[in-house]
Amino acid sequence: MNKNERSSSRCNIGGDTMAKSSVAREVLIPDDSRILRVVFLYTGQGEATLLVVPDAGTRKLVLVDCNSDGDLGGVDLARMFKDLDMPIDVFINTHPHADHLDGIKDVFEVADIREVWHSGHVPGKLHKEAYEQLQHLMNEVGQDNVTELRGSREEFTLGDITYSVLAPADYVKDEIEDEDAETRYRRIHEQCAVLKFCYMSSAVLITGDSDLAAWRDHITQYHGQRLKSDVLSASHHGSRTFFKADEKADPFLQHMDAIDCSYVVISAPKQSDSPHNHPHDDAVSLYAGYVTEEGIMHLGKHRECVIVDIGPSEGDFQVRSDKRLTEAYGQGQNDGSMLRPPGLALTTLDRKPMG
Amino acid sequence: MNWFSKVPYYLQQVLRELRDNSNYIQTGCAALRTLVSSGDIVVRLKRIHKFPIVVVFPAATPYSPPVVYLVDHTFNQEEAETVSRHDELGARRQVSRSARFYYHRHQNIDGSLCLLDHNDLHGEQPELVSVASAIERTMQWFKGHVMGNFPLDSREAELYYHFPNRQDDIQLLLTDPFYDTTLEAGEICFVLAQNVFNYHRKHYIGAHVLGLSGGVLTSHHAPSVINRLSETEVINDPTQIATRSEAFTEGLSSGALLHGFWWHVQEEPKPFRDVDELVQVLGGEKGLDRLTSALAEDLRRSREPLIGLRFSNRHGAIEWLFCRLMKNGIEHAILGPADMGELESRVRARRVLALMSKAFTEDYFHMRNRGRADRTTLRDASLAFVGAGSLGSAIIDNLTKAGLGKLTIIDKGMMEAHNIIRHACGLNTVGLHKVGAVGHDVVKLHNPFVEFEMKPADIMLSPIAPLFGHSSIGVSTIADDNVEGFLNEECMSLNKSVYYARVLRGGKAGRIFRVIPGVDACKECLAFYAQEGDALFPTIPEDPSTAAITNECNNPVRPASNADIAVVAGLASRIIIDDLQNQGSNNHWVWHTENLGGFLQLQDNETGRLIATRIPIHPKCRLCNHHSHAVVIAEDSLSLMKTLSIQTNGNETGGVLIGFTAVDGTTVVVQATEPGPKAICRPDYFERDIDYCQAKLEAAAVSFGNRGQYVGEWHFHPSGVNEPSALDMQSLTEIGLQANYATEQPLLVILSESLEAAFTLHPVYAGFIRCSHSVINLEEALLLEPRPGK
Repeated sequence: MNKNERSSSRCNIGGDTMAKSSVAREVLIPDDSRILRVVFLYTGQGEATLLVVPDAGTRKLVLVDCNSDGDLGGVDLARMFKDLDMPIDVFINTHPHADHLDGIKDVFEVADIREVWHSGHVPGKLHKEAYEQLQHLMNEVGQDNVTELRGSREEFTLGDITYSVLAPADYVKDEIEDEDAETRYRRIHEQCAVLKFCYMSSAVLITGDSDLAAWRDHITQYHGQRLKSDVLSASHHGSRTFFKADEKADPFLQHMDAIDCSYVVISAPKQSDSPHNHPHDDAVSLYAGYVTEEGIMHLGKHRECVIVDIGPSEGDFQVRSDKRLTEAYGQGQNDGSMLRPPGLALTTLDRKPMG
Repeated sequence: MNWFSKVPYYLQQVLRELRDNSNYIQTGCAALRTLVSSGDIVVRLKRIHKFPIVVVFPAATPYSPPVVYLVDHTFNQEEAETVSRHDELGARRQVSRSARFYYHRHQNIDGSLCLLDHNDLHGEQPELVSVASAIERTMQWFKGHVMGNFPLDSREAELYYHFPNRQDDIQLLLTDPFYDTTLEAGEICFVLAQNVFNYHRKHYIGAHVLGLSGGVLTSHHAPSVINRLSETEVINDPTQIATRSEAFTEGLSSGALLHGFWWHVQEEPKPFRDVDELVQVLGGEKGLDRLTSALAEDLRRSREPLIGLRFSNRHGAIEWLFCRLMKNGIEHAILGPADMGELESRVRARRVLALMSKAFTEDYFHMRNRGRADRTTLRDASLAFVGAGSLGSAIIDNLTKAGLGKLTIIDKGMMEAHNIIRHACGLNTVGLHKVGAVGHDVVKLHNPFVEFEMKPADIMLSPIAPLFGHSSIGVSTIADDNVEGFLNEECMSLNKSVYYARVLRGGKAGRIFRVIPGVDACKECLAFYAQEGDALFPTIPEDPSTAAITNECNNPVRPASNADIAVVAGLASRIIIDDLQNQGSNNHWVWHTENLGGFLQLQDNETGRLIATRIPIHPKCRLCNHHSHAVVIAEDSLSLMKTLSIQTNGNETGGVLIGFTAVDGTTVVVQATEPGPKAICRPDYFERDIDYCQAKLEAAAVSFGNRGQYVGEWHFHPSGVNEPSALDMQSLTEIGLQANYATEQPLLVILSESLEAAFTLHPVYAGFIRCSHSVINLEEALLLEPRPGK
């Protein structure tokens, strides 16, 4: 980290972070270009993950999903990418719902997006506006730079890392144009893209909003042992739909056994701030059963981002939380409640007559 | 009022960060008297690790960073409150009792971490270490602990400080030989630096590193810096160590020397507590054998030897760790033979104390100077300072600290008590020659890597060339017009550049000017400009209220406060340093704090100004306009040299050159002599027949009068170029220095194999100057006007 970058972490007594223009670069770009950095960005009720991929001494940026949630203190991605001032090599959309797409048009206005990979679905009216942003983006980058994701057992190269597209498989991709809104919403989750990124014997699994049907009926059966990952991005913002159809049903756990992860990252706001009560308590308990409480990184709990660094050597792997991005680019008000540890007295008035 | 009452907003930030940071699980927090937080740092690697810490917030928060203690258990709320009831120091003491030591770099002796360093000195506002940053750095330190791979830290963060057992009354200074990697293992010897360093701690300078290099016993030692700082004689000869001479043994007994053994280890050792852990660093059982064998004599004699471990540090650079094996109670010398078992038990019973060591290499010493000046340029520079008074000593001090390679200090005066009020030296120097005072108290103590010569002399009475020695640049702070005028004339003749500096108007102004002969206006040029009232010359009128006073020898002393002298000294030093890097075109600088008319006018919002200008050579100046590097040679002389050269059959030949210096400074050669019958002429060596050439010279003086003087030498290089050889340079320097030759700038003409002639002038200690030449006939040459007095 050079001196200028370091200086940006200074703050003044008033609490404002200084030199915000370099916070994005300081947090997102590792000093060592051989490190794969995966940053799970807190964006409120939604999901966005940035991969900084080592590429023969340089870097590629891959943004998986995008969300803009103005009220919950989430990172304003457009502002962040403007400060970062680097092109995004690939934007991957796991599925065309607003909480995975919103704001991508604004990001595109400040950062050159070169390729788009997507699941190939058209959402219902509720997500029309967000989907139009994706369409606009695909038009702008040109059809030659647009790829429709297809699940397979193949492993591909991206810079110095490898990745696999685990879903949606071709045979799952039924026509859903004629389905009702609820079915269509559910089927898009069943056909959501799931990607696994591997580097230096470590792996990160990005699951979008993929649901029980996808995992029980397709992914776990088809990919089995290939699912093993160190970090699992909890599907659907920590929703129970990853484990079961409803709260009372017995959970499906074979996928968790196969993934055998050490960490689960939940991209959701505080449960009280979530319109869907994400993350669901029963889902969090199920995750904790696998990774312990310290292994669950719930972005909204403290409104922070999570950084996974892999490399530069075999075995180098670290997961940590970081607040600098939410402090620098957070939207909405932070929790302003007064904290009073024992001993910290508030002013207490007593009788002071005046003449 | 405590800090959390003063900055409540910051306090809330701190509290929130302690509560809401996923890398830290807070288990207790209290602000009864001191803000204290306890909890676990969570390090998420391939598996999750948790480490208990206690964070104590100093009374000077937020200007002081939080102090993170590594503790042996997770403090609960009640324990945090107990700690919080104390003031800062009490709280720190209390937490320290529960410290857990990990024996890694950066953990202090009280259990806290020292990794919360400031990283930017130029923020124009305090740099505050946020709680998040403290937690992040602590987490990365623990990651290093788990992975055995710590994040890079400052080079200044030394391993010694992380040892629990240390001997603090000794510091070792590691000279350049300690960073020579050709040696593998061997012995080390340090010598006590007396009367130089702070007497509260003994400082030993690394004198010798002995070891095997490619199987050969080799010694590296640092003579110059040691000789400047130590009074111990023994260290200059390494064989005295190898043979354990009487002087060496006495040095050990008296404490004048420290001796020990060293090994190179592959990686930085973790701080160790006892001999067993040291042995592990040295290779386990083999390490014990190595240690016991090397130390056998010291163990028998019950000495406490040094152990040095050299390793490649986390920055890939060589680093050393030293410890001393101290007796643990009474230990008698072993008089008879001792077996290895007995020696091993003796070594195991010793205590290990780490010793503080610091790099004391030339590069490291000058590291803080980096940025505006190239170290090599300064190291190669050699300056002569004429004047070691208040201004001179301050400039000498600045340039010494800048890392000048060599300096010569010339002054005739003695230190008097009244000098001290504005001099770089103190009362302890009263009664010494000024040159000695400045040499020892300023140069030696401020930069022992600078070579210096002290010349207590009056420049008006001594030849300038030997006083300047090898210095081609002078700095005059004499501030006496007559002395400066004399120095100017002498240095113009010797082709030496001089910077002149003086403080004027009682310290309200200062003037610095540079004279590069033939390039800048010299002192005499400036006198012409001043006399003519030329606007080119910034006139600074005398201030009657601060007129020069005179001392007992009638020498002028210009009154001025040291505050003003320091300003002029700083400006002069900076100008000289910059010029050494890249000679600028400006040659005249005036600093003034008043409106003095002309272009020395201050704006409303200015309290002082430095004006830099270029003043050209004055057309009437006899010195500058006579300063020529041209040579005129009579046609016959050049033809004779060529003819003689052809006839030598592959040997050198030569002779002397006779002529004069013309009024414009041109060297005129009217005659070249033959070598003479007794000359020694070999393919690569020539010596003229002295008697023969002397006779020729004397005859020429009769024939040509003041146009028939000795001007130099000529010779032929039969198988080489016409560049002066090292021997040529040496002889020409000697000619310039020796009064009997009556020239300070002899001419040398060398003919190459192809009979091409090169003309070079050799001003003393200033290398040589290549000259253009023209050939005219003798009659024309004799019509040229000789320079008066030369």
